[in-house]
Amino acid sequence: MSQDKTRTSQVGFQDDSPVDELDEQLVAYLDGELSREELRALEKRLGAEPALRDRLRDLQNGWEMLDDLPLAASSGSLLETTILMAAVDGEVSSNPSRLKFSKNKFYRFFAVVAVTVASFLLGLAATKGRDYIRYRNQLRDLPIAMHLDAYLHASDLDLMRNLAEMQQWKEANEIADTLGEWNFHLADQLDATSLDSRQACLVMLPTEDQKTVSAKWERFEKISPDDRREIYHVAAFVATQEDPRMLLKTMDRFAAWRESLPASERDFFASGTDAQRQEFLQKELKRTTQKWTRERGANLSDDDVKTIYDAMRQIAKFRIDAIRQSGSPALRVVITTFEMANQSMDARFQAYFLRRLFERPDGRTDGRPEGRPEGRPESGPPWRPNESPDSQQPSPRTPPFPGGIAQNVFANARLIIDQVQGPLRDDELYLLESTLPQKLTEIIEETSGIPILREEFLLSWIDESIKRTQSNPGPQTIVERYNELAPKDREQMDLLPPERMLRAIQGDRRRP
Amino acid sequence: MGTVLSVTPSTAMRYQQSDPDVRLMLRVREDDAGAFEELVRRYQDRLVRLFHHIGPSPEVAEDLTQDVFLRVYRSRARYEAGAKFSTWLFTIAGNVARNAARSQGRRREVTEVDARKSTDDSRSNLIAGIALDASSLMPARLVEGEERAEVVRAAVQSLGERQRMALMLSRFENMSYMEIAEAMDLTTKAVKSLLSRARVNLKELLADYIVGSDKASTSDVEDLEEGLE
Repeated sequence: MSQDKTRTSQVGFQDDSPVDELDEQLVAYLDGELSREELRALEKRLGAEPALRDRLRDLQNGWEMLDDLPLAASSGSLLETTILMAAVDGEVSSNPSRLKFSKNKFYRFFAVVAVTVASFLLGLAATKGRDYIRYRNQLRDLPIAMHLDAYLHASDLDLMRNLAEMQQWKEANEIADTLGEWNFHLADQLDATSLDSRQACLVMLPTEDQKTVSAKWERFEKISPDDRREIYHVAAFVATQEDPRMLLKTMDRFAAWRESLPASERDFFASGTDAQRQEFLQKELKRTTQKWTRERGANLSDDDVKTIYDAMRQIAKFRIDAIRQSGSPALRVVITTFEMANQSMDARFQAYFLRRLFERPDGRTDGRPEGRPEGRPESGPPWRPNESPDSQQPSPRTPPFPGGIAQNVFANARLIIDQVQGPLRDDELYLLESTLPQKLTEIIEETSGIPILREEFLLSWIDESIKRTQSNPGPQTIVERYNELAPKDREQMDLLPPERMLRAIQGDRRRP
Repeated sequence: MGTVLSVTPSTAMRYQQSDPDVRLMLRVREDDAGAFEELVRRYQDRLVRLFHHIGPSPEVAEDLTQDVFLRVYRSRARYEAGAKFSTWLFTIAGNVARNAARSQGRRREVTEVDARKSTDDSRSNLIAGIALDASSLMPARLVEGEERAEVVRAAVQSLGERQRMALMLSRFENMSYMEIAEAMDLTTKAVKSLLSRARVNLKELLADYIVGSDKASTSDVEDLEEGLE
């Protein structure tokens, strides 16, 4: 084969190079595209000309080598991403005819992505190579990576819709958003950014946010092809719903909330019946919001605790004064006796008394589900705040309050609690609020649009104040207790003979 | 696809009755998401395979495939059954591939001028490089497995753009000359010529690897190497 021949072959590669008419006939023969007359004529020649048969065989052999051509197949995610892009594309289409799965206007950001991607594909002129294309694909998939947990763990769309309608869930969302517990600003920001602008957006992000995005993307890349295919499928399916925005928002938040639960509870929720799941949601959502607000309450200073605790004592006094005026003479005696004894009682008992006084049906203010006071022996009968006032004597089985509280004081406390126990009323909450230090007032003001959060904050602070007072009861020596007395009480105390003064300060308290 | 846009009712009915994919596409036209998904499922591998060989690079095959489906989706409201669905789809695929190649400025079509230039650059033509590697140490026709596949792939890549398209549609989609002509907007005679060129070129490019070829000889390969150097 000469150099000229090689060159001729090269020229022959182009589409409009001349072609031998006989080769054309032979190829058409192999492809079954000859007319009956042409076929008859060619077969006649083939029978008579061995060289022509060789030529035909060579043409056929080259063609058959195409069997060795490596044939690519699509990746597993192509179907899902294509459906997703089409669904999104339909959202921004000016065509009045729309696919049924793309009606919701919310999914605009994905629509922008789809349009941009399509523009990109149409204008590959702007591309500079495969790396650039891959990078663009990464940018395209970035929103999916940012919502990864939602697609992985919150794909039960019926549950998501039920959640979205649940009052407690709505309140939890309000509280979470206000307190910054669930933060999706990065995902929202990237969702709202077109594909073309996404790179610039990433560059402009603060370093911490860039690290967050990077970590999420790395996590997404580590996912197995099968899981990734499933994620694309879920994303595409969500996009085809009529309420994709609401769904994705709920999915994001549910996934974040689920992540905060212990593994055993996640398993319980996953395997529970509908009724169990509903009950679980109500209980755990409440616990979650209480946890958030309690974490804020845990930042109370000692002065804050004292202020709130004193305010609670004042509110308790108002309640007791109210029944003193309207109650029977016997009750008035009980109250007076109790007050005299209570002045000299252990601070832990006083805190316990307060806690029981304001206990709510859900077991707060002590933050525990049932009203068992701290330190109460497990073997004793439960404390029954609504026990009949007629049972003026404690049960023989009822042990004394740890610390040696006399049974008559304990019994009087129970009688009073029975008369005035109940959750804080609005006027009492306002009274408490009016005494709060400035920094706590500001926290309340920030949540003025969410009444339940205001109440949660106040209750968590009350819990915290009472708990801390119980665990740190304050002055324990006689001198400390004397110094802690209100000025008016101290004046009265100073008028007493020393023995009575000592007894009054000590009261019936027995040190453990 | 002007032929699709002006379709007589009888033609539309004929394709609707004979081609299940046409019926699927008509359901897509009526906003049936499931039908669209089914079409994507049926054709995604075929399009990716096609773009691997007619696109500007294998790496963008899936992107171009998605582009085709998005175009189908966008134009669904105007769809009329004027041809087999596959013919219509591959027409779009051809357009997408052409646009992509044009956009990248990487014309794979080897013009006469390019061919002359390639004699000064032995590595500009992959098949030449492979021929050199493959033939230097062993009889060419013993090349097997992945190496053989790469030789064939490089040979196909050496063909002009339209030859490759016609070859893929004929060899792997089993389309008739008439269908290929319709998909590529050519006359049947032009398709006949294209496929003839493709076969002749493949025969020459792969002669050294074809068992039983009278032309395969070491001297021929050396000639080829010389010519490309």
